[in-house]
Amino acid sequence: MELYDILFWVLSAIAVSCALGVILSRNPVNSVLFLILTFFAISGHYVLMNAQFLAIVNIIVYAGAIMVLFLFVIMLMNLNADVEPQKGQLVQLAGVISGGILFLVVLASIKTAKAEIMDKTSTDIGLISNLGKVLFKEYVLPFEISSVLFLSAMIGAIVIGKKEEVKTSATAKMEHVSE
Amino acid sequence: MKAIIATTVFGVIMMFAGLWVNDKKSIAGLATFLFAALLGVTIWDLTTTSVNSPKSLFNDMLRSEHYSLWFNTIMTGCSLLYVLLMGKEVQKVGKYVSEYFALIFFILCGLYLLSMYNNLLMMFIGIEILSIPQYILAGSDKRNLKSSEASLKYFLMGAFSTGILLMGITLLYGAARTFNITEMVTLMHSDALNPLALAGILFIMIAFSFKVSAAPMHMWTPDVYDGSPTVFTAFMATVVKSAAFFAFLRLFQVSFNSLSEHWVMVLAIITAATLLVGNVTAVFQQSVKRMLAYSSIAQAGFMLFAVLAVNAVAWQGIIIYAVAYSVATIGIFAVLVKLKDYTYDGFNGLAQREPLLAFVTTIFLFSLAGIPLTGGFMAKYYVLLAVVQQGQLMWLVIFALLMAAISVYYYFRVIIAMYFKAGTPEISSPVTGGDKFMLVVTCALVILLGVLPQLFLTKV
Amino acid sequence: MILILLILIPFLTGIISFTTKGDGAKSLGLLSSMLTLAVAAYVSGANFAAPITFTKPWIPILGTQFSLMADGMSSMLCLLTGIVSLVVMIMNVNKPVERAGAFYGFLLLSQAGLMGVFLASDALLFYVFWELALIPVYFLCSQWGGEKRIPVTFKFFIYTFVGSLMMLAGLIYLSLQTPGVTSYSWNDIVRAGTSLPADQQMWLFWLIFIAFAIKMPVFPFHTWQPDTYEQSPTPVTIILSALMVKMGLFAVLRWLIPVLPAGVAYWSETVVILSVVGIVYASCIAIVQTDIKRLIAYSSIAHMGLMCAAAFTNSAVGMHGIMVQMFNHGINITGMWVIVSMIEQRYGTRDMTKLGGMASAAPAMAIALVIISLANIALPLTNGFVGEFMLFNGIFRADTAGHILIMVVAGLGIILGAVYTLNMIQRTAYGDAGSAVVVKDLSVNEYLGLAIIISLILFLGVYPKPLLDLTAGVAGMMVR
Repeated sequence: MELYDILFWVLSAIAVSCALGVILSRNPVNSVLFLILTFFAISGHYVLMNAQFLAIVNIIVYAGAIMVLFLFVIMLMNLNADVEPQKGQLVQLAGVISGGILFLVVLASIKTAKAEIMDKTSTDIGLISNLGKVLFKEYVLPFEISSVLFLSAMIGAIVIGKKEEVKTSATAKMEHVSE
Repeated sequence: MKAIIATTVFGVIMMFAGLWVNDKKSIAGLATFLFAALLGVTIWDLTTTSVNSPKSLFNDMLRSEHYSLWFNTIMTGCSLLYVLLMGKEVQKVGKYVSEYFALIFFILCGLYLLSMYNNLLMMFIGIEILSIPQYILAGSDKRNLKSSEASLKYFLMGAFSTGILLMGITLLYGAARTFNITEMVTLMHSDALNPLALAGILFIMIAFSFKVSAAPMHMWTPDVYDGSPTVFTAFMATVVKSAAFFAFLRLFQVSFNSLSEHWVMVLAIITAATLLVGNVTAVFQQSVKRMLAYSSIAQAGFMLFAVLAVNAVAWQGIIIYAVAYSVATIGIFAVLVKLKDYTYDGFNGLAQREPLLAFVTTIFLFSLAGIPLTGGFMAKYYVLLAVVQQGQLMWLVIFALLMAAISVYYYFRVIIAMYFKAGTPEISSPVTGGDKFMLVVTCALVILLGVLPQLFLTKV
Repeated sequence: MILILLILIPFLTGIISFTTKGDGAKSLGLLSSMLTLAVAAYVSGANFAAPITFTKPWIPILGTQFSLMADGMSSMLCLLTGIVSLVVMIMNVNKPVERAGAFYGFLLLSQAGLMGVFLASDALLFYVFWELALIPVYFLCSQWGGEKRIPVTFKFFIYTFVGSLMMLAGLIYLSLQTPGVTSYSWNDIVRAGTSLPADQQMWLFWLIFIAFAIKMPVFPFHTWQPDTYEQSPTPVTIILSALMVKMGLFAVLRWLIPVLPAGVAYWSETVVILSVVGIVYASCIAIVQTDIKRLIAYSSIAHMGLMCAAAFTNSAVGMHGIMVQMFNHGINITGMWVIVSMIEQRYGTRDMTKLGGMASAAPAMAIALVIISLANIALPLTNGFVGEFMLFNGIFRADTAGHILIMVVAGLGIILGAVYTLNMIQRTAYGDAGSAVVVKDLSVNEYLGLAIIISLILFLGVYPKPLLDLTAGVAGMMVR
C-alpha cells in the first residue's frame, strides 16, 4: 500500500459516502453541504491524477460558486425544513427495482470490462499550460462555440429574469384590436 | 462552417436590433431577411462542397458531408417558412421579440453542429445549444403559469437527460479511448467488444430517446408542447426534433453500425412503445394542440425507423421525413394560432367560415396521416422501405402500419370538425392575404414533396 | 397517350367543378362523363393488337414509373366506369344537390381515381390511385350522406385504410425482391413474386389480400359495407357497389393471382370457403331485411362472394366468367340502386312494409324494376345469366377437393337470391298501396338512364360475344 493507494481509497470512500449523504439526508441544506464535500473529494482525485488546474476549477466553480448560490436560494426560499413530498409505496418500489436493475447492468459491464488501471506515472496533460495548448489547438472549435451556448443562456437570464413591465397603452390597444 | 458563423452573427445582430429598434414589426422583418440570408449561406455551403469528398474541419471536429449540408439547407428552409408563417405571432408572445429570434438563430447553430459533428464533444455542445434556447422559449410567455411550468419541466428533464448522455459518452470513451466517432468504429471493431461500450451505447440511446421524445422517455413532451406558447411549440416539435433525430441517426449509423445486433432489439422495443403510446393517447385528447404533441411522439416512432434500419436508405428517410413532417406540422400550427379555441370543437364549421384555411389544414393532416401524393406518404414510405430492406423487423413494420391507421382516427377528427360539423369558429387574429398566400405555398410544398420527392433528396 | 385522357378528363373537370357555382357543375359533370365514356369506348372498342401502354418516368430513385396499361380486363372496367358514371350523372340531373360544385367535383375525382386503379401497371402508382379513389368517396359520404353518416363513413375509411397499408408493406417487400434494381413495374413484381419461396408467399398473400378482401368485401371483412351503403347518397352508393368493390376483385386478378401463385394455391381453399360462407350468410340476412337499400347491399355481398370464389378456383372458364360478371354486376347493381333511389324519392321511405302498388301507380318504373331484378338473379336472356353460368362452370371444374359441394352451396345462395329479390318485387310493385301513394312515373332523364341500363342488360343477355371477346385473352393468362 503506497501513499497513493491509501489516498485514492480514502478519497473514494469520502466521495461515495458524501454522495449517498446528498440523497439520503432530508434537509436540503445538509444535502448541499454533502455535495460540496463530494466535490472536494473529487478534486482530490484530480490532484492525484496530476490535474491541478481541474481540481482548482472544480472547487472554485462548483463548490465555490454554484453550490453557494444553491445554498442562498434554499435559504432565501426558506426550504430548509425537513419536509419532503411523500411518494407512494408503489412508486418507491418501482424506483428501487428499476434503479437496481440499472445498477446491476452497469456493474456487470464494468466488472467484465477490461478496465485498465490508470497509468500512475504522471502525465502532464492536466498542467495548465498543456491544457491551454490542447484547448486552443485541438479543441479550439468546441471551446469557441461554447460561447454561443453561454450567450443564449445569458439571453435566457434576461428574458426570464427581467420583470415584464406593465402593459403600455400602445400594446394594450394592439391586443384590443386583434381581439 | 459558413452557416455556423453566419447564424451566430445573425443571432448577435438580432440581439443588437433589440437595443436599437423599438418597433416589433421591423424586428420581425429584419429576422425574416436574415433567415433568407441564412438560407443563402447554407446553399452557398452546399454548392461549394464537393459531393464525394467530405471536408474535415478543425481536427476532425466537424465533417461537412454532402447530406449534412443538404439537411442544413432544408431545415433552414423550414425555419424560413416558419418565420414567414408565424413571424407575426412571435411578436405577440412577449416583449423580447428580437431575443426570441436571436434564440432561434442559436438553435439553428446547434442544428448545424448536430448534422456535421464528428466528435462526441461537438455532439454534446450541439445538443446543449439546441436545448437551452428551447427552455427559454418554452417559458417566454411569463404571464401564463403553464408556460413557466413547461419551461421548468423541460429544463429539469433536459438537464437530467444531459447527465445521462454525458455518462454514456464517458463510458464510451473508456471503451474506445477517443471522442472521434469515425475512429471509434475501428477501435470498437478491432478487439473483442468491451462491455463498457455497450453500457455507453445504452445510456446514449436513452438520452437521445429523451431528446426525441420516444417512449418511455416521452413524459415531458405533452406538457411542454402544450404549455409553451404555440408559436414556439411549432418550432420545437419540428425543426428541433428533426435535428435531434439527425444526430441520433448520425451517431448510430456511423459509429455503432457494426454493433447493431446488440442494440437494435432495444431500440425496436422503444420504437414499438413510442408508436403505441403516442397514437393511443392521442386518440383520447380533447385539445388539438395536445393531440399534436402526442402525434409528434407518434411521428417520432416512425422516425426511429430510420435509426433502426442502419442502411443507406435511412439517410434519405430521415431527411424526407424531417422535411415532410416539419412542413406539415408548421402549417397546422400556423392555422392553430389563428384560432381562439384549441379544442376540436374550436374547429367546428371552419370550412364555412374560412374555406381556404380548412382546405390547407386538410392537406397537412393528410400528410401527417400518410395519404399518398402528400409528403407524409413519401416520408413514411422511405422509412418503411429502409426497415423492410434491413429485413429483420417485419413485425414492427406491420405493427407500425396498424398504428398509422389509428393515427388516421385523430387526424380525421379535425377534418370532421371542420367540414361536417356546424359551428362558428372564433378567429383570434384576422387572416390576411399574406397569410393565405404563405399557407398555399406551404400546402404546395407538401404536395410537391409527395409527387416529386426526388427534388428533396440527395446523394448519400 | 389516350390512356392518360381517361384519368385526366375526370381529374381536371373535377378540379374545375369545385370552382363552379350553381348548375354549372351538373352540366360539367355530364359533359365530362360523356367525354370519358367516349374515350373508354374507343379504348375497348378499337381492336388493338397488343395492350396499349403509356409510360413516363416518375420517381426514378424508387424504381416507380407513371405507367398505364389497358388490356382487355382494364379497358372493360374503364368502360364500365364510364357507363356507370354517365348513368349517375344522368339520373342526378333533376335532383337538387347542396353545394353542387363540390359534390360533382368529388364524384369526378373518384372516377379519376378508379380509372387510375384499373389502368396502373406500376405497383406504387396502383397504390396511390387506390387511396385516391377512396378519399373523395369519404368526403361524399360524410357530407351528403344519411343521418349516421359520420361514424359509419369513418369506420369504412379506417377499415380500408388499414387494408391498404398492409398492402403497401407487401408491395414494398416485393419491390425489394425484384431482380437488379428496385422496381415496381407489373412485370418485375410478378417476376419477384413468383420466384419467392412458397413459405414467404404464404404470409405475403395475406398482407396483400387483406386490402382486397376488405374492399370486395369477403365474408369476415364485410361489416363496413351494409352501413356504408345505407348511409351514402345514392350516386356514391352506386360508385361504391358498382365500381369500388370491383377494384378489390380486379386487384386480386391483376396483383395477387399472377404475383403469388404458390401463396394463392395454398390459401385458395380457405378463401373459397370464406366466400361461400359469405354467400349463404349474406343471402340469409338479405331475406329478413325490410329496408331495400340494406337488402341490395347484402345481395351485393353474395354476388361478390360468388365471383371471389370463382377467382380462386383456377379455371379458365371461371376467370372469364368473373370478367363478364364484373361488368354485368356493375350494370345490374347500378340499375337496382337507381330504382331504389327513385322509390325513396317518391315514397319518402325505403321500408318495404310501407311500400306497394307501384305497378299500377307507376307502371314504367315497375317494369324497369322487374327487368333489373331478374337480371340480378341471373335469369336466362339477361346479362347476369351468362356471367353466373360461367362462374358456376368454373367452380365445377376447379381442381380443389370439395368443388362439387362448394358449387352446390353457392347455388343455394343463388336460390336464396331469387327468394328475396322476388319477395322485394312483390312487396313494392304489387299489393296494396302503402301509406304514401303520391307517385309520379319516370321523368325524361330517368327514362334515359334506365334505357341505357336495360338495353345493356338485354343486349348482353342475348349477344354477349363482344364482352367475351374483349376479355378472352386476359382470362387465359390468369390460370396457373
